[in-house]
Amino acid sequence: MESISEPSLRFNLQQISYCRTTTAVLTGSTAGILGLTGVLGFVLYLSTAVLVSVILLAKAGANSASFFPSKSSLYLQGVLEEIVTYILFWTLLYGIVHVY
Amino acid sequence: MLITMSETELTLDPATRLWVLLPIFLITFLFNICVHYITTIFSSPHDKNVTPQEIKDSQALVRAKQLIRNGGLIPKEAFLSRKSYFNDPEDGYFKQTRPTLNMLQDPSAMLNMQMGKMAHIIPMMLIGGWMSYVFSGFLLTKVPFPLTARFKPMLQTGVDIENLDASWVSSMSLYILCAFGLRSIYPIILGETSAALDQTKLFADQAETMAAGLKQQDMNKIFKAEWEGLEVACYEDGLEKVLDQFLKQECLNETVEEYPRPETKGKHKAKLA
Repeated sequence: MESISEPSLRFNLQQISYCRTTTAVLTGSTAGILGLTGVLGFVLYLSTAVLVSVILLAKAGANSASFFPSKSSLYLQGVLEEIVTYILFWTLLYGIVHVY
Repeated sequence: MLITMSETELTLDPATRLWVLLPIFLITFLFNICVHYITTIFSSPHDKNVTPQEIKDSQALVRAKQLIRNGGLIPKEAFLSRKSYFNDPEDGYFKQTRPTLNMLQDPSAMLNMQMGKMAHIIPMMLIGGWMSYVFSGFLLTKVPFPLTARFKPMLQTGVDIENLDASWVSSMSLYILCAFGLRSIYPIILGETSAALDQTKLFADQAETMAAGLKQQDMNKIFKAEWEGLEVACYEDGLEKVLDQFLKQECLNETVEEYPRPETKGKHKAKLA
């Protein structure tokens, strides 16, 4: 028997995607300023994504999965979507700092 | 802009960075924020054009769904009385009929839907056209990872140089990259969290949106489907074991053990053990 409020569920999900977007923007800028190229940049993105997942899991506790639409959303939500944001900031700052 | 051109490296004029690269980013960013506020102003809460009866219908559907899902948490009589309110063969809510609205007979509904879609596309196209008019033909930056030649038409819109490495980005492509990459940032900047926390308003908005969504559909069919769903729903007591669970928890808790217990405790402990 489950009784979970829909708006709260959506709110939780929104918080996760805020974390993801902010991390993507910051990591993208970092990668751009450091001048990472090729695979290194994607490795940085993946390792930060894993780090954020670990932090989120540690903060929310192991049995908090029921507060999300699916069990994996706590640590997988938005990982693939945010890569566009990451690439934008990576490209932009790499261009500003290193290309000219 | 292109001073030298070799196989691998190009030198770009730093003035392009200041007068093209940054403006494209800033204009895309600020323009989308403006569009957001303009649509907020013009989409006043009344333009969804729903009648109270339509909102009532959509809320009845929501309540019926909740009854099916969480019905076990209320007493049996309460469940049955709710069920008969919706499904009573004589005057149940889902036995009512609504006039069917054909979308072709109501062109204003279709027009509204089209307008809603256009409201997002037209500003994008306008600013895109303006950008290509003002900033076309610049090579702005380089994607920091190698790409195959297949990406050339995507990243080098407006620049047709065959031998150019595929990682160079033209101004139009940077605009498209900005338009998509910045999308997930707006919720953070525009602060939709605060709106989400205001639950009363949220619910009212939701109810209206939902009713507007149902407006296009045949209510009689939806009522019939919901009636069938509710008809097969049986009462299943979800709180049956709650007393046992509670007592079990209390027996395990040692600090509570010191206090005097009511007499029933021993009985339950024996049952659990």
